[in-house]
Amino acid sequence: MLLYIYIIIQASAIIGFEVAALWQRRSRLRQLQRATLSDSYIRQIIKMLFSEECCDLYPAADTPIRHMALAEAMNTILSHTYGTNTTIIRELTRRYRLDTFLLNRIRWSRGPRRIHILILMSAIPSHTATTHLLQQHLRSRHSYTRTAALIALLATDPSKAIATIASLRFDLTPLDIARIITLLRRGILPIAYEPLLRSTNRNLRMLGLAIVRNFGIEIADKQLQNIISTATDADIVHESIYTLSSLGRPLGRAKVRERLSAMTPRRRKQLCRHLTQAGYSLSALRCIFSPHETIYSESIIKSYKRDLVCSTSHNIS
Amino acid sequence: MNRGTILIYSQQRLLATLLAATIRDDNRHIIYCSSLQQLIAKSNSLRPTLIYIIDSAPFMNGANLMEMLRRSSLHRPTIYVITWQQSEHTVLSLLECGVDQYFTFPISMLRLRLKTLAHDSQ
Repeated sequence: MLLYIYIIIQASAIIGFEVAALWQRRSRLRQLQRATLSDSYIRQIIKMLFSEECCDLYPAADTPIRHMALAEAMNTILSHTYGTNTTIIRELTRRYRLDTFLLNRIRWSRGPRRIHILILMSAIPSHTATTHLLQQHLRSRHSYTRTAALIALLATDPSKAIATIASLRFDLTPLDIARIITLLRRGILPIAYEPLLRSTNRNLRMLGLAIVRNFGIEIADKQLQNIISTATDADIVHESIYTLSSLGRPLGRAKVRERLSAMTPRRRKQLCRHLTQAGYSLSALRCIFSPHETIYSESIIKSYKRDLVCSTSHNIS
Repeated sequence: MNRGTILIYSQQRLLATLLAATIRDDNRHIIYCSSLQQLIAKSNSLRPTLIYIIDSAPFMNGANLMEMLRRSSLHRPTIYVITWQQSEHTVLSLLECGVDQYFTFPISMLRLRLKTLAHDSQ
């Protein structure tokens, strides 16, 4: 009897392992098939973009695997390029009903898979009304889902970008802001920085500061000084000081020094390191930091890491 | 007219395909390398005219990548780097390493194609 039980357990274990191995092999094959299809679609779409003529894809995107491969191909093209003619991409999306497919997938998927599909959705010009569904995901408990939904929403309806960001119930993280900046760099989100800096909304202000920093807008100097002297939120003040330093502006003004003195030692050390690496001279640093804090800067300047930059850029006095 | 060989190094196959499709030309041989060893070997055996590296990490591991790619004193391939990083430090460091041009994503496909064509005509 025991022998029979032993044989049954052994056999079921072997069958279990075989099934698992088969499943793994099948999913690997599907991944490979999808990658090969995406490769082929990228080549075909780029050919169409250069010839400015929309043709049928081969093989036609008529199965879920092919739909996903086409979505990934479009995402790769649109998220890494700017100035791309979206007429052809729109036509392909309409022809193969890609937006409907992705919306259904978003409804039925969970976790990282849903996030991935939301990211794909942000790259695809949508024809159907997606705003309502995306706004539902904006209230998700998971931060990555919220971020992916926000990016998709901004890409779907860029004209309402400021209203959407202003209505958010959560604080944008540096990662979220970086992703919004990527949309700006792709040229699909036309936002002016000035109203954002004047806004009282934290998220809008942080985005405005990020725009100034990323695009090196030197004429925003005065507005940054105003924010530093009047803002009550410590994070906004912190970000404004970093933005001002990224523009290479002097930080020795009384208001700035006052704000710096209110910062924690840890944050002061971080800022000191950042300013040293940004090219501020020791004399400029000695005006705003105490002598024992600038010893750290001296050691950075003397290190080989700093030498590389020092030899090619002028120090900011 | 044979316009020579172009090597593309990227760990993401789809990105390499995007770049290859953008600069594609009937008279040009484009080879995709997924590892640095493969890139160095191909660079020394095929003598490419242009190398696209879609990553800045290979320059940060201490190995002298540029020297390995330009081992032969008679052959000096042009090296273009494309990454998402746009900090001045990264750009300066890479240019000091010997990189000929640095592009940041997102790129304009048309401008990249023209840039490659201009390189061929040099």
